[in-house]
Amino acid sequence: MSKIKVKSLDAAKGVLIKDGNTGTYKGELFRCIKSTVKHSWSGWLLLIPFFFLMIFLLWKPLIMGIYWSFFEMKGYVVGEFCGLKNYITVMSDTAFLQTLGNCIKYVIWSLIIGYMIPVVLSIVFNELVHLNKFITFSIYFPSLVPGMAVALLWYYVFFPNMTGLLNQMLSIFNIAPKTWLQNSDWTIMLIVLTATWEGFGKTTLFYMANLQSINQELFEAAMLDGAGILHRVKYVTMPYLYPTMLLFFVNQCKGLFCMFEKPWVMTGGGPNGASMTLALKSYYYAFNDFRVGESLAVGVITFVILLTLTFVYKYIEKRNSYEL
Amino acid sequence: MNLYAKKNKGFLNQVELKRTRYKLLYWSLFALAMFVCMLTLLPLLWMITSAFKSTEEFLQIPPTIIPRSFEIGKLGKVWEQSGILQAYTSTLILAGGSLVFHIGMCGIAGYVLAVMKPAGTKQILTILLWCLMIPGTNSLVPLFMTFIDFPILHVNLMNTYWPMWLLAAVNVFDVILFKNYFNTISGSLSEAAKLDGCNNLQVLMKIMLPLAIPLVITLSVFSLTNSFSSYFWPNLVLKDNWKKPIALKVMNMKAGLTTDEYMVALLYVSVPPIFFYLVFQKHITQSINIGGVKG
Repeated sequence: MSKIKVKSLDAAKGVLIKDGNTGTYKGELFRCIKSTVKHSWSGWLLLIPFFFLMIFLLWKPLIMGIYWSFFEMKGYVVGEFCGLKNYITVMSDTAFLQTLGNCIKYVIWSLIIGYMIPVVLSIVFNELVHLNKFITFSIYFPSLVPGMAVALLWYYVFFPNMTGLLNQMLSIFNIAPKTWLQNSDWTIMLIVLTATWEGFGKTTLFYMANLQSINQELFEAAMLDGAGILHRVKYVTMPYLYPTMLLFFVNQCKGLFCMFEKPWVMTGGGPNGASMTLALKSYYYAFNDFRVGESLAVGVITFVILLTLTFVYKYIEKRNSYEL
Repeated sequence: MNLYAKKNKGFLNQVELKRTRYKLLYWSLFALAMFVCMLTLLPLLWMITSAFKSTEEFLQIPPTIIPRSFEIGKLGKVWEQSGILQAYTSTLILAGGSLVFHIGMCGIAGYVLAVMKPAGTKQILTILLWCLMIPGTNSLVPLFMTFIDFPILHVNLMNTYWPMWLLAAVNVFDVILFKNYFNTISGSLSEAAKLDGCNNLQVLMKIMLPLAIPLVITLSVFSLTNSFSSYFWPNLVLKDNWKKPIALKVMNMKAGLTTDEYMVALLYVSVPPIFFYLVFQKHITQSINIGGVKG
């Protein structure tokens, strides 16, 4: 608020010099502030509740989360300053190191499964003229189901005994039931698969919107130059997708680092922490183990990673907008 | 087959499609698309059919895709046993409050920033844009502590709906959405109304709000959907069983129900949001087109 007042003061000075007004400097200043206040007081008044909430629910927790991570926490009460102790405890916790490793596994698996599927499908769907509405509807439908219901549904699809859909299906081919989510080698892959099932429709539709903007003459020109289908896809279609693909890649990484719902519902981070993510670890530290200081430290580490990714995202977005 | 004539996109063109080779390619792509659609719909289909199959048929191997038995009694059984009615009631309280706070706060803030433009609007917008960028991963514990002892008022908000309602109100993205939407409404309308003697409140209620109805409906549907799937803060905050919303309740029922009964419970969670969406689909696509945001 003080900044705003200073600005209006400057404006008042400007008016004084320009008009050479006869009134005293102080009186004119007072009048100028008065007119600003008269013009804006109702707007400010209406904004107060929103600002109040924004300060106490957005900014204060954020800043205090960083500040208190250097303090010893006793339950939910702030204790004494302890420097980097929380961070050192977290860093020397093998479970936390495993979590960091898991994050890399999540990224790799989602690159393999989740990343290329929407690209390929958008190119395929863009070709089709039959049943377009049905296709759009059926790929968008999973994202209408609440996220926790999706996670629970797939939890039962992957259920280890014969009530799970997947094991029932496999039994048709005489394959013995598998443990799916309880298998520590597969659990991350299956969670990524679930997340992909939920989200790929939206991403595909977004890519398809991009493809709509391709000028059809480009394909004709490429054909005249003797380009086969693969060449047309490679040199005409794909260049339209690269900028968006890069943005989605960064966005996906961001989503994976704070993935919470799917692992929490489906595995609870198990088996033996094989599917633990940073957000889930922070939650468990705070509300299961009551090691609140450590939870704050994990939160800050995640915060730093995500902020870096956000800046990368903004940088790419800016560069893209220059190119287009 | 004359649908081919409509084809004006993609790497295959109409001339090529007259040849058998390319026709084959087209239909194999179509088959791939159908396969993908089947894969996406299959788990949902399984959920719905399992909810209505008899338990014996559900356990049968191989599973039947088209159910032979139709047991509507399971719906009633789960409804009674798990207190779905109670859960719906508390979800509606949660959703109603969130809706009022969400639309009210964001709408008013957007209106002030777009139409009334008090001194300092530019600075406020910069702050809001910064808010959008910052990840909130480290604010979980401080937020929890805030709700235990809310600043200035010094009240304990545990075991009430207030935390969820207040969190619904601070939605910076939607403030900006509202602001952009109000900006697209021509300024001469509100000027004309002011000349006719309306004050700011009347301009909002009589001119701006009716014109912003599509956006209000869209955000209301999103807000309702959010309430129906919210479990995180309710899980941390609500202690009384009867206050728990449906998503949290269903999540806690994992142990008590058999798999096919659980599918019924999942149906109870997911049908209302899908219903809201389908009913208001037209408004939603419309306002997405106008606002140009929220994919």
